[in-house]
Amino acid sequence: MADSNRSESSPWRDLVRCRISRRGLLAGGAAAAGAFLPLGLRRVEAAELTAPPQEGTRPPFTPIRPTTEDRLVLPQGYRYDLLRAYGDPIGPGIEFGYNADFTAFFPIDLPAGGRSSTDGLLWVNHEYPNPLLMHGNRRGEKTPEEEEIERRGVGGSVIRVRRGSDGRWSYLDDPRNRRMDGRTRCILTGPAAGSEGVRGAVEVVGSVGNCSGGMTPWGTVLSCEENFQDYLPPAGPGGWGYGWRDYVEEHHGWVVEVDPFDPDFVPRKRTALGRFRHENVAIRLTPDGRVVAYQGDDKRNSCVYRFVSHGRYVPGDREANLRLLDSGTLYAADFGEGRWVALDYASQPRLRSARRPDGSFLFRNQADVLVEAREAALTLGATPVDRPEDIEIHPRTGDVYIALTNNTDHGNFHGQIIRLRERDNVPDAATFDWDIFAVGGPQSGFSSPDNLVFDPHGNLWMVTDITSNRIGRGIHAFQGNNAMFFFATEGPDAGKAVQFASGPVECELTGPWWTPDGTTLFLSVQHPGEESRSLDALTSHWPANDGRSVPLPAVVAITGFPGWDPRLSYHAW
Amino acid sequence: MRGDGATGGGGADGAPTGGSPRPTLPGLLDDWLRTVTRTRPWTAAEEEDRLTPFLRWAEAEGGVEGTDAAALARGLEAALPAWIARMGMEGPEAEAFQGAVGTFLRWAEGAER
Repeated sequence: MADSNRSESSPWRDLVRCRISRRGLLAGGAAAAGAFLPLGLRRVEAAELTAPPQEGTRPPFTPIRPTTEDRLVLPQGYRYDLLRAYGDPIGPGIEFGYNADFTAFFPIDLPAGGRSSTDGLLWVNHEYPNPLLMHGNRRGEKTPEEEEIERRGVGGSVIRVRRGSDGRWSYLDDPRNRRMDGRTRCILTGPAAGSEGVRGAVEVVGSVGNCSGGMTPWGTVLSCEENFQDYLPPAGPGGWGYGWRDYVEEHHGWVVEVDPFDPDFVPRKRTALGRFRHENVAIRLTPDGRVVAYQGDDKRNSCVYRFVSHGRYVPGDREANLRLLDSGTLYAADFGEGRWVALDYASQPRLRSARRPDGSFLFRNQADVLVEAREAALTLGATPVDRPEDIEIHPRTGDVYIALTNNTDHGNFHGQIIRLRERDNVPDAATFDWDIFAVGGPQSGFSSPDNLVFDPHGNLWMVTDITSNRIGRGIHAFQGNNAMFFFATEGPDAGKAVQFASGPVECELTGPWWTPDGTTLFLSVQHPGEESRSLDALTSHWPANDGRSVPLPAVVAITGFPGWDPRLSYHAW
Repeated sequence: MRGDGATGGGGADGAPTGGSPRPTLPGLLDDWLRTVTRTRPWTAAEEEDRLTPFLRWAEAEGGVEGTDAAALARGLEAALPAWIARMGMEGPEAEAFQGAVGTFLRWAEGAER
């Protein structure tokens, strides 16, 4: 069924068809095929919204070919150093977590205004557990000890990393090394804290589903809780979840802010940014200093969001900046009209009148709107799109790139990357335009775009997330294993995918992040060998590659890049 | 078309309600397999092999449709006996199949959350 060609209509599909047709006309009348057609597509040329070609838009490597090898394959001249893998110590009695995901490098001298590219604190998300590979239990019914192993494996890590005089990266012991996990005390902040929608809670236990994230201009990390719905359903026969005891679903699905430099910092779940399956957060500033945060809800037929803070960023005012994400307006994107709709209970009559089939009100106050942000967005006419994953902001043009990974509901099997430009490039504009930047499929060489990161030249680096059971099979065979690609966003090769890396068997490469000088790329290797049916039938042995070891998720530092002028920034602030 | 009232069921007073666009069986199966791949990945291939033929048949010949995932789940449940008979499953084999599909259906009832 998954490989059938379907023809039903949907809001997003119709919009994509319309937009691609318009672009075809703009390009000279050569009508481009839609992202929803599985084969024979023409790549949509990216020229409509970008500036003239700039220098630095050529890939700094010789492309690799797709492969299904059980190793991390890089171009000639590049190497990786494995920093930490699951279970490695990061402090007394503390271990690196499972399924490494988002990474963010904080130069060790950042609090003093520095930009070290050889020494820093690395934040790493740990997205979800794998019961079989973590504790060996595949019966489903877990002991409390097995559940504890899973709880201790998720969340995030702070680790000190340094590049030696030999050019190699390694892990360092440091008093700031620590974990946020499924047992960590967190606090809810913002409008929904303490509300009925979160069962009156202000303090909650743990962080889960930590997928991608973001960095703030004031030097904190934002870790995004995505698939929080998997933890409550039972794990035993007839169940499908992790079956954690005492798990409260409403306490999860938030963006969590952490100061990596402060070991005593209590993680703060920012309810003003809404509750949904958060993929990541991309931040920019308005000219007067308000914070604009873009977010995606990684679920079929779900929305793209934008938060605009009430307060203004003040460099150096840590306490004030740590309150910026607690007060503001959350919007969702209506791609049909090119407008942002405010998820604001006070000013939106439709939110106040929306009811469930049983006649009860869907939302009683703004806190409810934030707790059920997806329902609020759809109620107000925001456009359900094809699983929005990472969103990143072009550092020079301000265009917002959005990875829509796929949607089987209407045959969008390979996904696309779209590009949104705020009206007059004003970050908090009420309206926007958008177009298609790249379309997945055999014609472009990639499928299922996921995490994104820019370099200062405006080149886009992207990793893919083909679901494990489809990797290397059927219509996905052309790409081999999940991989990493380079795209120029300007010039004659804009939008063409150039393969940089290929991951081990059944893994997903996640969390690409640069050092400030661009000589090192941090990257996670998540869930290698995750479809192993037993510990005696492992499908991957990465990173040991010894033919017998259990595969381990890990974070690596890739070197070999020429780098760039360290005064340049690839952030949008 | 946008995700306005057309995507919701309509409330008691006619006001628009929240709600996702109409789901499809392929989309539901895809979501289920992604869930299984996260929580019990060692069963993912087996789940796909077991459910795909049934859902294909249910969609093409079983007349299963619905405005939301829960409705699709009810339609699949109603179509299940006919599929079991069609495949000639009996006794423990039929019970095992029913049990496995039942887990998928219970998940599907809440899948649009």
